[in-house]
Amino acid sequence: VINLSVEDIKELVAKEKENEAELKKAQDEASHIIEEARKEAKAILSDVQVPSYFKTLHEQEIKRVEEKKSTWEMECNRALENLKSKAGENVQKTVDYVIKLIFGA
Amino acid sequence: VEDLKSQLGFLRESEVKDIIEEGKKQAAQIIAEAHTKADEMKKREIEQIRANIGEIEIRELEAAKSEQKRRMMNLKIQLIEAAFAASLDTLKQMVNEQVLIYRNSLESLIVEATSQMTGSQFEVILSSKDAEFVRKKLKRIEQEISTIRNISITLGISNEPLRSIGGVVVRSSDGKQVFNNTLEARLAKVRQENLPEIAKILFEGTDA
Repeated sequence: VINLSVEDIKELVAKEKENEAELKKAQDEASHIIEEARKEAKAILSDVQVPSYFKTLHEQEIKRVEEKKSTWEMECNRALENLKSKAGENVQKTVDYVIKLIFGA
Repeated sequence: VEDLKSQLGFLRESEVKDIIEEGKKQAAQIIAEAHTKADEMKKREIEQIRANIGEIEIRELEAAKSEQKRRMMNLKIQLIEAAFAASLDTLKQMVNEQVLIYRNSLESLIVEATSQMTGSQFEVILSSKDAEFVRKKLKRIEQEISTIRNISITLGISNEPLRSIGGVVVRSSDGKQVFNNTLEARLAKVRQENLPEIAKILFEGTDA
């Protein structure tokens, strides 16, 4: 059993009120911290679509495809030139064969 | 009283600390979740872009392949046309120079034509130079056809000019049957019947 004077009780009540204010302040601070975290999270999510990153990736891929296409086209042009050249070499033989067929020899 | 105040102070500090810690903990969790979600979104977007790019690659290369096939086909057609044009030039030269193989073929061209026609009287249309040559052999050709057809055949040389580089056109005397055995007609027939073999010789040594 503690014997408290009126003054003591007043002091204790004042202390309790001070505590409540401190707790309220702490809760406000915690809410503020959470609110800031939410803002940061929102910023993180909106930063996901980094245009330059995707643009670079896309450009790199397009360049790679173009290079592949260009190499392939060069090979095809060589094939066309080869066809032309060989046909040029074979044309007389072909004419001879056609003439042979025409005259039934 | 001081003890009580001290205890209250201690409890308050502890509770304040807990509230702040809990707030920080929740904040850290929110940020971590955002990072995880951001990573997933990024991964999805990259996969989407890669898929799109893959489609671009397929589309671009398919278009290039089709274009190449078209170019290859056009070139082949050009080369075949050139080979037939060269054949025609050679035929013209053979006719102009009246080379033996051509002259000797005139007889067989007439025989071939009349053998596939009905009737017994025919006229042969050919160039004046060829007519001069054939006229000398006409009786012999008539006999040959008569033997083949087993009927008596009469051949005449038409005065009509031949609209061709060479060869013959044979017409029945009533004009109802005409056999075009000109060199152009024979060239067209050879082309129609033998194009795969001709192309094989022309493109020998290539992958085409």
